[in-house]
Amino acid sequence: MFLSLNIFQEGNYYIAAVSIIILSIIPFYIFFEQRKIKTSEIVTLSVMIALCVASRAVMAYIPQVKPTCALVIVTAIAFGPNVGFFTGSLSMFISNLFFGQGMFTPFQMLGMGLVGFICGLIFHKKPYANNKIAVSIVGGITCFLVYGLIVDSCSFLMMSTEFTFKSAIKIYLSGMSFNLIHGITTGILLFFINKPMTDKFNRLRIKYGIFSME
Amino acid sequence: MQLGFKSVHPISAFAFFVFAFVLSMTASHPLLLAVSFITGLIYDIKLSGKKAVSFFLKIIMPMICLITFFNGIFSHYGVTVLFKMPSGNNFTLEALVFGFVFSIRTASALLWLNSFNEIITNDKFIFLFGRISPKTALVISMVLRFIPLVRSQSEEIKKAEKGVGNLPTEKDFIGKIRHGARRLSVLISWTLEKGIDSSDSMKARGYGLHGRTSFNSYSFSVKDALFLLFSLIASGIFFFVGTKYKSNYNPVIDIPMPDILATLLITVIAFVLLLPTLYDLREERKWSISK
Repeated sequence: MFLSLNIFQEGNYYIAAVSIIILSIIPFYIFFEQRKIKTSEIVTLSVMIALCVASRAVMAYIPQVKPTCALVIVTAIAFGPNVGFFTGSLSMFISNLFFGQGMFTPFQMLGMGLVGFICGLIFHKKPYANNKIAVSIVGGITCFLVYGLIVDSCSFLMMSTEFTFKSAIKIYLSGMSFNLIHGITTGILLFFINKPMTDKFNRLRIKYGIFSME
Repeated sequence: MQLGFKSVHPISAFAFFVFAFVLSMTASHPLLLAVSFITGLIYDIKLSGKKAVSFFLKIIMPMICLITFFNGIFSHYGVTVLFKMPSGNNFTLEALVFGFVFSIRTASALLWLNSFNEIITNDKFIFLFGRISPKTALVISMVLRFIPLVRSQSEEIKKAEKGVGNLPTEKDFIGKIRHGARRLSVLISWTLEKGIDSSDSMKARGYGLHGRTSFNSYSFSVKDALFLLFSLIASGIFFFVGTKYKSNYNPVIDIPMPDILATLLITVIAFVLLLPTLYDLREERKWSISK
């Protein structure tokens, strides 16, 4: 990372950014590796990630609705921030296995992971986690701000040669409308799916006793 | 049995692509850029044929033109003023050239990424990272299995809804949303339960016990070692050439002229970048002779 900054020519911020992102993702994965985790918990996680990836196909005929972000947030609220990060980043990674890895991949992973992490941090095991309106507003805003801005940084690093505040603003503004739609639909979806999903998780928790440690 | 570069051990292939990608993203000397761009294009066309050509014409070419053009318009650094724009800003040669360099960089990285997606398939990816983090690899492979399952189950639910007579009509928008939500809800419940089932079955078969090995069908042979070695050597050479013959475009265009040594080294890099293509061609020839 420092090598690419110092030795090569200026304007190699992409490589530097990707190195920073990879370095910041690694601790979460180490945490996941080292934790004593039950088989049923691993499987539930995989199921949630699979649902995040596949839910796009189910809801495909309603335009502009992508439940991925909402499902990640719900998982994070139910299972905590670290699991939320893991679910978010892996679901982005795996959906890119299908569509082909692009230059966006690390940025999407970090963005979605952070959305999960932040929402998990705010709502996990908190008394106001059942407040539909709070969850949907906070979820929509984090989706819009965190995910949108991080992914737009990638287009900024790719498209622009001049790293000034002005040119950054231009890129972020052009992505704004799309991010806004994404954020709002996520908020609306969260409003509707939060309660039923929490019920389903609680049912699993009671019926099979998984994730009782957290 | 896969032929050519596809049959090379994942570690070697991955090392090669990391080298190619970093080279195309960080090279500043025009010769190096040309080398990475042209070899990347050749290999992409070799791998995907017509698809690669149309990708080049429809995406890469417009992208190069656009980035160059917009950098010329929006950036005003540099000393060589070509003309003044109506807005009063300078249109400089440096901005134009650096825009072009930058776009070539991005374009060759994209081309190599295309080949990467062809060569490093999902199973190889899991093989590569499964060693470092077994749990994550397990989750990934389970997710990859669950996705088709979820899709087919979703179709089943749709059929069942149709049988009951619950399918929404074409124009009924609210009904569509309701139907989608119900389908999603049924799907989630079903998949979660199914997941618990499979975890029970995993436990019954002894998952989590010590001494688990994993199956893989890759063996590390001489050719893989050679590929790895070549990639490493070429990275070293690139590190040397890239720092010594560093080119600047801002504020003045300053490109060091390559001497004999540099030309030789860049030829070596070009050769290494062409290796997959050459290897594929050789295998194909062997195959046609043996037929």
